[in-house]
Amino acid sequence: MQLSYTSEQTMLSDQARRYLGDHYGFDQRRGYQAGGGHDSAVWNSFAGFGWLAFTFSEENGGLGLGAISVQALSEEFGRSLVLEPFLEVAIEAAALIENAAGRGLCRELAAPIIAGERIVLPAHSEAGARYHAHHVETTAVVVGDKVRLSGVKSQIAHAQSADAFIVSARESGGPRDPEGISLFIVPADCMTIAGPEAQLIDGTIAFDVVFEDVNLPVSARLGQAGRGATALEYARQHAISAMLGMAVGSMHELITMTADYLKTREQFDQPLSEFQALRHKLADMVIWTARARSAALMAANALEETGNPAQGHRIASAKAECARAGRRVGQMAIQLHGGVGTTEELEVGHHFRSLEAMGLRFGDCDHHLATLARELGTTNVAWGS
Amino acid sequence: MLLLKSANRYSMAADHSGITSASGNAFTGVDPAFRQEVADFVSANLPGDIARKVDINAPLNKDDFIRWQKILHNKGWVAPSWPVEFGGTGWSLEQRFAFEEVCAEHSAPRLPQFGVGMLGPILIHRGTDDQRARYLPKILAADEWWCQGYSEPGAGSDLASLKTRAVREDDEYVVNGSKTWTSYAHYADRMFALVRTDNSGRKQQGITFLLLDMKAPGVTVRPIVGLNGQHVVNEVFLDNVRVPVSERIGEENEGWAVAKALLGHERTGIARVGFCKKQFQLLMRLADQSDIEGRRLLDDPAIARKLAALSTDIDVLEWTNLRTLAAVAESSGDGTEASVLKVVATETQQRITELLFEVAGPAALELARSGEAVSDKDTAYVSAFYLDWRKSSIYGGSNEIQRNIISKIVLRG
Repeated sequence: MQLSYTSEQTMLSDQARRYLGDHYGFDQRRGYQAGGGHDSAVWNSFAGFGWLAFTFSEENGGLGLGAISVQALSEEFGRSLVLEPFLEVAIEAAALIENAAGRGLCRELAAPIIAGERIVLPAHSEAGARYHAHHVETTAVVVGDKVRLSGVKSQIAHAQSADAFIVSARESGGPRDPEGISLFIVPADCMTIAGPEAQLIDGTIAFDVVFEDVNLPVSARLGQAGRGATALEYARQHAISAMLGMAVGSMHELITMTADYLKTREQFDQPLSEFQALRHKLADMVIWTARARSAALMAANALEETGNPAQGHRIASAKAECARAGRRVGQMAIQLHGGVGTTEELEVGHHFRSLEAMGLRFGDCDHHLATLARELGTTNVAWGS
Repeated sequence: MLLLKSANRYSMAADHSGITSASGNAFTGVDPAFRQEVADFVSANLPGDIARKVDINAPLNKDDFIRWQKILHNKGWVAPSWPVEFGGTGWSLEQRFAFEEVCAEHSAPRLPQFGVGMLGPILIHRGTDDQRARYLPKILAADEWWCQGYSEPGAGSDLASLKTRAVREDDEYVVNGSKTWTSYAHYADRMFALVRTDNSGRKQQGITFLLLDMKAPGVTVRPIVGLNGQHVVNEVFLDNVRVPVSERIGEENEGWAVAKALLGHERTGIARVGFCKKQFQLLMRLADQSDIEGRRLLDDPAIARKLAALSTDIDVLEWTNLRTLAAVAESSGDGTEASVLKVVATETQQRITELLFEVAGPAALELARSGEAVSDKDTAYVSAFYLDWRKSSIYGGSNEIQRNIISKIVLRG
């Protein structure tokens, strides 16, 4: 059990904070956002620091760092509202490859990702899924030594920057069966990135990715046919844990900003910090952020214990808590900033939007509470679960 | 005692005809025929594209607002709060309330109230004959668009601390300063503004009420984009803007009293019960959709309970609004009513937007999509609405200010 960051992890977050402080200030972020959220110079720096190698094991050329180290880094990404597809590429796609691909293929796929040369995005979410983890209507049909993919993956952030996608497609079973899902690595030029583009509330841009009878060699399949659900769950859990680190970092930043604002903004001839009602709201922000940090650390600890049967429970519990805490902290920060908080002009609003996006991604609070309720033995089946 | 014959939230035809107050005559309810007449008119005359935008909380543009106002103007229904002699309807308080609610229930947009709702009554009560003749007809006909210049960067909840200066030079004022949160300043032809003409006394003294031309030299409008990504409010810079003294309402240094009479009105229009019911319909429409296994979101017990709780919130808002109207009509109550209503209303509205956001699911990740067909989806503006509506607990006197007012009154008692 680890209850605080080690000195190595603290050095790691200090390094990230220094780099992001210099290169990812709010105005610089505006520039990156205008460019779609991905900047190759920034991404190359991430590669240079080794941040893209965290999830890959040492035998595959990575650093093999655990979930707590990842949170030490992702917390800094949350503070600076990094738009880069770190979570998607360096955590989720890396975890899919690490978990599903055979050794040779794994090394081959990992090297250009670690070097920052190749953006590989997971393409799993579909329009009808809501938050169902195994909802896959995209089909994969084997014809001779080829496999043909057909379907639509929705809301793929950064799709416009991708070199390849790891696509979940169904080889057998019903649309929500865990069995029958396979994973394929698909070069971006094989498919259509379909408009219209969606501007997401976290500042990134997403597209639907359309497969119309895309023919691939059977060797594009990662792992065994129909057995992709295990890797998807592994990747989902690690992505959630990393994202919780981001959420905690964002909440901390909101506390700092809000405290500064209350000390400097004057109304009725005194600083806002003199009003007890507002001070209590600030205290509540601190309390909810502390709860979120506890939850995030609990989840990361569980992931570091290989084979811990409570991993699913811990992830669901932590995700539910951080969604709830993120909403409260975000809303209170806006309220305490008053009118200026309701605009795009201050950073506070962007943190709020980002926290709400993280609250939804990989399932909202209710979705994860339903998972816990089923564990407790309820026979009610929640929608989309 | 308040009586209600029936209220079916799904039919939307809430029946307030049996409402009466303790004295039995102050708030006596509305003839159902009146509600029907309004409903029939709106159904027959509201352009479908505007109704659709209202239903999904899509942004309305200047043309949308003006089209609907001109339709209402032709019917003589633009200004329910004005006396008949100035082009108003002469309706009772109950009729005005019913009109607003029925309009909202039938997807009519709420028109920006700066001209008709705010400046009009001020001109009627405090303007000169000349000012009324010049401005009232154009307000009614939507030929002149007004914006409100009250808030300043340093004067939000503490409005009276405003600093924009007006210095008298012969028969003109020279105005310098800036206004903020100015809704639709980019559409506006004219602004009514509070400016400081004297610094010597209490801050509520020394404020003057002026009407100025947005096209005058020295007026600059800077857009402020909201959390919903939309441009509604602005900052307005006033740099040596010259305003004739004839454009002053009331006496110099008495602008606070002129404006204050109307600030209360902002709070009684805040409940928006019809709008809330309409949003509940949108929620139900989204919750009624089935997933691939044929299950409806509504059958998720967590969602069902949240919807049920929200329907209670809307019931309570409706009745709190009615009780407040009755208290205003009777001049009864302890003074907490308007503040209680503001908090109940905005918190209910925010719950609606939160639940819309939750029910929409992953679609709520999208702030906007390019392309007209997609932006017509029921969920297209759900996140924009949720994010934007955080402002409701801030504007019109923040909910913290309202709670201060409430506790002050109760503790004094």
